[in-house]
Amino acid sequence: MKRLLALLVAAAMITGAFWVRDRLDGDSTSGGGNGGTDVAGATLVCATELAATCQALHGSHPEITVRVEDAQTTLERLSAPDFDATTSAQDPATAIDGWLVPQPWPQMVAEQRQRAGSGAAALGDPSPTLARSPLVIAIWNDRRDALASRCDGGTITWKCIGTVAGTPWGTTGVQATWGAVKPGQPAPDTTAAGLLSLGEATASYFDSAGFASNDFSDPGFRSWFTRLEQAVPSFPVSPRTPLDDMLFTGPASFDLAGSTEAAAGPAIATSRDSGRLTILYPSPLTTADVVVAPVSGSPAGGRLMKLMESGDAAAALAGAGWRVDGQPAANGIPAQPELSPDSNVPRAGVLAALRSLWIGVIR
Amino acid sequence: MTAPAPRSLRHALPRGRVLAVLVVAVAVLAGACSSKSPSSSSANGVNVGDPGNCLVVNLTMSTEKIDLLTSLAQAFNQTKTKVNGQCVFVSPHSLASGAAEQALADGWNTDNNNPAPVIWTPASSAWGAVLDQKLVAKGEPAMANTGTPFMNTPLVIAMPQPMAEALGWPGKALGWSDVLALAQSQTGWAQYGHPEWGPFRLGKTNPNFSTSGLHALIAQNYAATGKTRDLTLEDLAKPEVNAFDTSVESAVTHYGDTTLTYLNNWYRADQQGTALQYTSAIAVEEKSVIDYNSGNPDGKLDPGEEPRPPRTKLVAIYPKEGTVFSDNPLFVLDAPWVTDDLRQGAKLFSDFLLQPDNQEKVLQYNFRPGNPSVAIGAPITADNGVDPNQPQTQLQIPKPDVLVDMLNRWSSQRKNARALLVIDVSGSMKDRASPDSNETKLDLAKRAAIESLDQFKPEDEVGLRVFSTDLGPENGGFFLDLVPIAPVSSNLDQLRTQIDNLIPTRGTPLYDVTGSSFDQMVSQYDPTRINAVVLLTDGRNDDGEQSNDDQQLQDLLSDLNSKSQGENGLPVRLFTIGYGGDADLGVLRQMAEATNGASYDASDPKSITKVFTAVVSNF
Repeated sequence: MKRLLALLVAAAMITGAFWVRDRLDGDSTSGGGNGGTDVAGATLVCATELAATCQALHGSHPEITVRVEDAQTTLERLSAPDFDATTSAQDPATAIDGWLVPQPWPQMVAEQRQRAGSGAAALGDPSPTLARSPLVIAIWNDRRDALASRCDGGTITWKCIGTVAGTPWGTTGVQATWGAVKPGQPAPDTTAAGLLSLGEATASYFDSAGFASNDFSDPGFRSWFTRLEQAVPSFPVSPRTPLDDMLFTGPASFDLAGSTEAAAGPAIATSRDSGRLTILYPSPLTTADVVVAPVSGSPAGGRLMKLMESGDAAAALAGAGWRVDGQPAANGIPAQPELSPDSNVPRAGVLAALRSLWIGVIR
Repeated sequence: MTAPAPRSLRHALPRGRVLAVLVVAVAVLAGACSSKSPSSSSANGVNVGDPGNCLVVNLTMSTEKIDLLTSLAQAFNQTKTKVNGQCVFVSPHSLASGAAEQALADGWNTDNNNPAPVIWTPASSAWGAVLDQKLVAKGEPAMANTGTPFMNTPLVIAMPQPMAEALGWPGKALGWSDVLALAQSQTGWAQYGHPEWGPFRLGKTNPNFSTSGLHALIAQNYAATGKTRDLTLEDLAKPEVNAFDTSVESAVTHYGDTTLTYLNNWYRADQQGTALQYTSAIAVEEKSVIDYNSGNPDGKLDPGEEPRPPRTKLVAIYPKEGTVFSDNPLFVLDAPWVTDDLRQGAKLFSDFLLQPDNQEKVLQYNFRPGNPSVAIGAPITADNGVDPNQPQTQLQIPKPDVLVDMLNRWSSQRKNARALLVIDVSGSMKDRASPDSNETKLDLAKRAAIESLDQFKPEDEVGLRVFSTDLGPENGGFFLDLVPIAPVSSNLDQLRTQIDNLIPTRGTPLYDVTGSSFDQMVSQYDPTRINAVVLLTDGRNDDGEQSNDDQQLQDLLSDLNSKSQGENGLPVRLFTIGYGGDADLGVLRQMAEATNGASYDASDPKSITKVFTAVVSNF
């Protein structure tokens, strides 16, 4: 009897231990706020620029699968005539229930499918804008001062940068060792930030974001565009960006680089070079406006949209440097300038044409 | 967790049984409260060796970071990080960047190399590009793809401070064009008021093996074209570019698989007051300048060794045209042997390396941290001959096909060699190479020597001499010239045949043959070539008269030194290979160093092929 009692006590202790452990495991894996399981197994594909956001989101919601890839990769997959959500879900490498990406990539998918006569839409209506980030220029302070003296009115614009790109900084003094003016931007043919930055630069040349693809035949523009893009020393393989290279090797790699504020602000603020780098907000200022688009035919797509509109997602976006209404700004993200309601992003078709132009000039 | 059982139980059950129940309960309780995954076993609670049940992530690294990454791998292993419940163990191995690239391109023969790597970290991303280009050209998938750089160091032109000052440093921006013009000058340092420094002598390593050598070759070709980016195959094919490259190579003293040979020789020459005559400038990584100036030229202190700064400091010239960074990428290989779990483990180690605490350690080894949040501070300071604010311009790494073409062209552009291969055929060479081998030491040496002949180009001049005792009436009976020195284009078959026919004989008249071989090369010195003796031996001096060995050695060292160094010396180099367990490595090193050459350790006979390859990389 006593022996049995001892065993029962031991068994109770073991059961209790398993209960404690399960509680501990539960605490470590469930997210705050929105910890439901209604998105379990869903795959959220995130554009490269949103990698940090999605990793944070996955930390609080491990029940969802997150995959990070360049916007162009996802665009091509969704634009394929034979794209089917059910079929693609069979392979973890292609599964997708929702796409977190800046505008106007969902619209670019729709237009590409329409042009190809691909039938049904691959994506449902995207969410309202979840977060925003202006496209900025990170520049070394000594280069900023030298460049300002060569730009009209001392104001550094993409138009001015394109005018001097690739030319020697100087032939005497310290500038003799700077080499040629080396602008940088993420690769426009693969990344959203790169193509948006290229759009911003083009808007600077035309002094308006309302340009169209037929403006690209302007000889003055083509000459300026070619000079600017051919002066970019190299395009680091994504996910690395010219800004990454600037922070890694100093001014030897790039004199300045286009970037989202979300990527540049926190990285520069915590960098050893924070005192040597400035973030410029060029005019006209373009903003990357993030949305989530559900995949048509995916039962989890709608639920992913709800998750992305939750407080958890807003915190993840803001924590990664994106501007989100009602959320505290991340370190390195200033309150100013305030963002205009207009994103100044060219229309989807114009952006696609700009990408084609860039490929013709560079690749 | 060790709360006593209820009092009644303790009294009711025999003590042993109570204890047994409690032990079981506590053990299960502890197991239940811990993670669901099994814990890794480790000796004495400290994971310094593979506990045996872990996921082993083999890490192959370039040689200059072995101490740093071994230390960081040990720290990582002690964190007991897990993937899918299995502990991850990072196992570091070193192999020169070029040698690892070639091994990977050839499918990684595990008999001759370390275990197949999951992570490969060469000194530069350029090696990944070269590897992928070779694989794609063979119709195989790329293996390196995109790496994660975790620290960097720029290529600089290291020059003794007085020489740099003579060129106008630090006030004048200097570059490859200045150095390369001086390298091609007939008057050398005399045009800068220093005839006593002699001709300009350029130090470069073999670009097929050494990252500094590869980067210097890239910079040289940019200088030849006046470009800083977009070097093309058409650029390399231009006659004027080829002429420029060939001319620059003519100023090279010798090559080699690593810059450490140069730096060690330079430091030794500095201690003798002849540093300015040995070499005028070397293309090395910035970290090597700091190592040298701290009195630790090879970046590695032997037990009891005390670093003593050189008499003449080196300074780093950051070329005004731009330079190339060694970015130390971590490539998690897309290779058949890399499973998803290994890939995850590799990623965790990569993240670990980038943590600020670990990046601080990178600085301690004279590299610049890859994590931008870690400041570049000491030792990257002017006191150490370097400048943290430089370089200001980076040269673009050419596309992989251009890189491969550049290396192919270098094979014919490099300075011609004039080398005498001196091979020991003493009786001990008939010993088995290892207990489990049917081959003799001589068999392995013959095979390695024959394979190494492929590294010579047709214009090189090579001869073959063997040595032992009682080899006939000529040459005192201690050596025979089997193949006279002649262009490889005319005697390659003869060299192969004669090497293949070698048989072991009697004693080892090491000092006699070294002296006479060296004297012959000095008397026939050709200033347009790299002049060298390559000596392979498996034993100690054994000429039948032991009583005068010490005096013989001292005389020989003095002779080698005076004939090869200083203002009146001729730069004939002696490269020695100590082969097998009985070779006198200490004496061989002394002899090589007396000529500013290098000694190589092949005490494991199986390493002879690798060692021979490294020796011939000097040409």
